[in-house]
This record gives sequence, structure tokens and C-alpha cells, in this order.
Amino acid sequence: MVSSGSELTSSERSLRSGWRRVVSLVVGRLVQVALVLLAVTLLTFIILSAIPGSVIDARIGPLPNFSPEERERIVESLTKQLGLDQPLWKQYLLWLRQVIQGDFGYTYQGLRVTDLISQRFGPTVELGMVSVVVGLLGSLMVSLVAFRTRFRVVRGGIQGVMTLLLVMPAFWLGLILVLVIAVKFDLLPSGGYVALGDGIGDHLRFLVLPAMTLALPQTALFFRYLYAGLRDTENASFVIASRARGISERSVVYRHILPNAVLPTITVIGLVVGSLISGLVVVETVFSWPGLGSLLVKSVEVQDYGTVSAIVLITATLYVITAFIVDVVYEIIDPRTRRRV
Amino acid sequence: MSVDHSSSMKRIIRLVRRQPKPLLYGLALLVPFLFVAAAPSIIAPYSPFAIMDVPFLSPSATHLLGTDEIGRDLMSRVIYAARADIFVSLSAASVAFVVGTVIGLFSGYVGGRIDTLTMRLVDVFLSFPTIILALFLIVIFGRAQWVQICAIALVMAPSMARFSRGTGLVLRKRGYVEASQISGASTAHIVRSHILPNSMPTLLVAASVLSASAILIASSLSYLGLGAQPPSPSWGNMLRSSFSYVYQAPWYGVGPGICVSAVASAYVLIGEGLRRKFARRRSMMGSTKSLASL
Repeated sequence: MVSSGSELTSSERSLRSGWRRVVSLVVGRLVQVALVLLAVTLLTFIILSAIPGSVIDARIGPLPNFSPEERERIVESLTKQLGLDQPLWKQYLLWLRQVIQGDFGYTYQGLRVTDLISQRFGPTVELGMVSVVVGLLGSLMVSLVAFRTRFRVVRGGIQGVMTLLLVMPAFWLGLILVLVIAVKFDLLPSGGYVALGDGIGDHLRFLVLPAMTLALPQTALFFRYLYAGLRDTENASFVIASRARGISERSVVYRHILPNAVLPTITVIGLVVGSLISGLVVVETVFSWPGLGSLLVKSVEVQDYGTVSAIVLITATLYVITAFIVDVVYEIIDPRTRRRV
Repeated sequence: MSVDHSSSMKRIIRLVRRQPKPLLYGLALLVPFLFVAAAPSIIAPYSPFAIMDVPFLSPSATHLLGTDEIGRDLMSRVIYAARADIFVSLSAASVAFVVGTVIGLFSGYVGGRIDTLTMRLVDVFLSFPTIILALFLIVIFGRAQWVQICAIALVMAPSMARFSRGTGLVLRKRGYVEASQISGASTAHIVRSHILPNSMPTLLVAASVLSASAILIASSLSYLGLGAQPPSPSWGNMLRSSFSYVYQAPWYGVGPGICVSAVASAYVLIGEGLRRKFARRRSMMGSTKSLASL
């Protein structure tokens, strides 16, 4: 681009060093993410190896029709096969290699855990994504209404409802929605799932209630930050200045206040994804949605350690990576963090 | 005598009125629940296990909340359920509070490598979504009540540790702490008699937020069938069975649902009230902003 540094204006130079800062920050965070993920697998492994009774007993199951000698032989061969005669750190490395290759072993029924999970992955991601989008848009609308309204009743009402939503567990909110929308007015099914291939209309009909149940608490959470952000920026000097210049109220709100209020909200997305994953577990169970969450609950019920630990690892990984992406995006979006030297 | 009595009454009333409103509302909401949880047999009209009537009676004078799928009185079951849910959530929150606070305050006060190491460890625990880590622990260690309490506590302690670390970090620079250091006090002594008392206001606010999420997690676990096992009632497992009968008995889950939200919002209100009460100590309360991460 420019041949020598001296030709750069000072602002250009600071911008350039700013970008370098972003890159070094991203690399640093990436290393951190890798270390955290490694620690996450280690912790999962430690918890897993605390299973009372041996893994082999769990494998053989409660079948009583083995003689003691037979049992001993099976135990011995399985010990070799599963690498349980190795020292614990070797077992960990062995297990880690399999996990990284996407091999989570088998369930009791002899199904591959990886297959089971990949079937359930799509519906969960769909439900989660839809609810985040709805939650974000909803909170944007609601907080703008609360911010711009002239009536204290409206503002108070919105704040009250949003606070109430934060203390509602997902299954209770889900029950209310089912009672009102499915039972009383019979508008939507109270639970179930239709694959996208079997009719898009039906698919969407089954999607609405679970997505709403997930989206409403998120709306409340985003609202808290957005609304606080709007109130904080309202008194900033550049807002007062643009009002003084006679810029229309609409333009002041949407072009000056809103962008600055949205920025800090982005950092909350990471937080919301955490509560979203926990929410998915409950909501999928409530509405019999065939995703990872309901699979997790079913596997917990039948004590299927393999599937449970696989889902735990996958969600933790997703969570850590989302937090990383949010951090980086925030760094890139907000020019102020870049210019600061 | 009577004059003296009325003036002391007045003083009490004045003291009560000076408290922030949310704190009063929160306590007014919580205290009945604590009472019910402590002595359900006094309040409950019937036994929670006795089959009283035909199934699915709608609410009436004899059965205030109706009857459930085998004809047990729902009101009595809701009342007895308070015991399980409130006990689990309060003990989990207390364990998380104590463990998190001790780790956090020391880590923040000592600083340096130990602090960095502790916080990285906290990060690792926080990388697991709450309910999922709790489910994982329960599937490994069984469904006993103490496992449940420990699981919920373990899920919440890291965020408490991170929060109290912040206050420890603020307080270590204070004059009285430095004075104590110079006079040769031990780390344990400084944390116990200087850092802890001075961070108590913020920590109490955090504790009430913690209790609110504890009751939500506890009831979610029992909703998922991992809390109190039937026939013992809990708000969560009652709500779970109510889903099977939404068409026959739509009122079934309403009582337990309201209870969960009421207890959770009582904690939230108490937290908000305490925050306002202590708001005069500005420099410290600035750090309550990070409460959201709890």
C-alpha cells in the first residue's frame, strides 16, 4: 500500500496499529480458547472416571446369566479392549483422540453415539437460532417502545412483564403458553415435531410454541441491557448536540442513540447462549422436540454415560466458541476499541 | 408502660418504613413460604399422599386447587412441595455462597499467579451450561438429595467466586488493609476481619441473586425428573405431570408454577432492595453491575 511509514498520517498509523492489536488479541484469545477446551475435556474425563462401579459392569449390564469364570474372562478381555489396564493419563489421551475424531463410543443398545447426536443436531440448532433471532428482534422493539413512549403506564408495564419473565422457569412459561394457545384457543399443537420435508406449514406450526417459550426470557434479558443502554446514551453530549442542531427526534433515536446502545448488548449474547442451551434442555422436553436437549434428558434417565458426556462436551465447546466469536466481533465492530492504542 | 410500648412500636414501624420498598415486598413474599416449608403439616389441609377424592376435580372449597391424577389434594401437595424445593435451593445457594466467597475473596486479595490460576479454573467451570453440568453430575453420582444440592452448588459457585474476587480486588488497596499488612497480620486474618466484613453488602446482594437462580435450577431439575422422586411432591415434578393432563385438568400446574415464580421473584426483590439500601457505598456497588453474570 504505502511505501514508507512516514507518509502515513497519524490517524492512519494509529488505525493500522489498531488492526495489529485486533489480530494479536484474536490470536491470544484463540490460544486461551484451546486451553479452556482442553481443560473442559480433562474435567469431563475426570467426572466420567468417577462413575461408581466399573465401566465394564455398566457395559455388561445386569445380565445374570454369566458364570463367575465367564464373567472374569469377559471383564479381562474388555479391560484390554477399552484400555483400562493403562495408566489414567494414557486412558485420557486415548479417549481424547477418539473424541477429537468425533467418536464417542456406543450406547447400551449398540448404536453409535455420533450417529444419534447428528440426527438430533439439526432440530436443536434450528430451534435455538430461531429463538435468538426472535428474542433479539423482540427486545429491540420492546425496548424502543418503552424508551420512546410518553406514557409511564406503558413503560412500567413493559418493565414489569420483562422482570416477571426473568423469574419464570421455562417449563412454567411453556405451560402457560400451552394452556392459553393450545388448550383454550386451539390455535397450535401443544407439542411434537414434523420434519421440514413433511410439509413446511406443519413444521412451522410445531415450531412456534417452543420457539416462543425460549425467546421470551431472552427478550427479557436483552431488554434489560438494551433499555439501560438507551437510557445511558440519551444524556451523552453528542445526543444533546444533535438535538440542539434540530435533527428530528426519529433520526436522533435511530441513528445516534440506538447504535451506541446496541453495542454493549452484543457482549451479553455470550451470556444468553449459555442460558439458551440450558433452556433448550427443558423446552425440548416440554414440547417433545427431537433435539439434543431431549436426547440428553432421556440418556440421563437411562444412565447412558457415553451419550451424556458427548452432549456435555459438544455444548461446552459450542458455548466457548460462541463466547470467543462474540468477543472478536465486538472488538471489530466497535471502532473505539481499535483506535485506542 | 403503655406509652413506652407504643413509642417502641413507633420506632419499629419507622425502622421498617425506612427500608427500601423492594426489600419489604420481597420479605413479605418470602417469609410465608419459609414458614410453610418449615411446618407444612400445620397448614396443609390433608396429607400429600392420601387419596381424597376422584381424580381431576376442579378447584373448589374443599379442594382449593383441585385434585390430581389419582385424586390427591393438590393444595396439600403444593404446600408439602415447598419443603423439598426451598430446602434444596437454599442449601445449594448457601454452599455455593460460602465456597465461592472464600475462593473469590482470597484469590482477589492475594492476586498474582494464584489469582490467574483460580480464575482460569473458574472459566473452565463456567464453560459448561448450568443445567447440563448439573445433569452430568447427577447421572454420575446418582439422584440422592445431597448430590442434587452439591451439583447445583458446584454449578453456581464459580460465578460467585468470580464476583467476590472483584470485591476482594477493590478492597486490597484500602488503607486499613494496608495498615493491617504492615502490622504483620496474616492473610487469613486480613481476609476474615477486613475484607469479608467490608464486602458483605455486595456479597449479600449477590447471594439473593444466587438464591433466585438456585430455585429456578432446582425446580428445572425436578421437572426433568431428577429431583424429589414421586410420590414425594415437588413443584417441578408436579408441573411435569401437569403436562400430561393439560386437556383434562388445565389448572393442575398453575399452583406450583406460581409458587416457583413467587419464590424466585421474592429473592430478586430482596436483592434489589439490599442493593438500594447499600447504594450509599458507591465505590463498592459499582461492581454489582457484574451481577448479571451470576
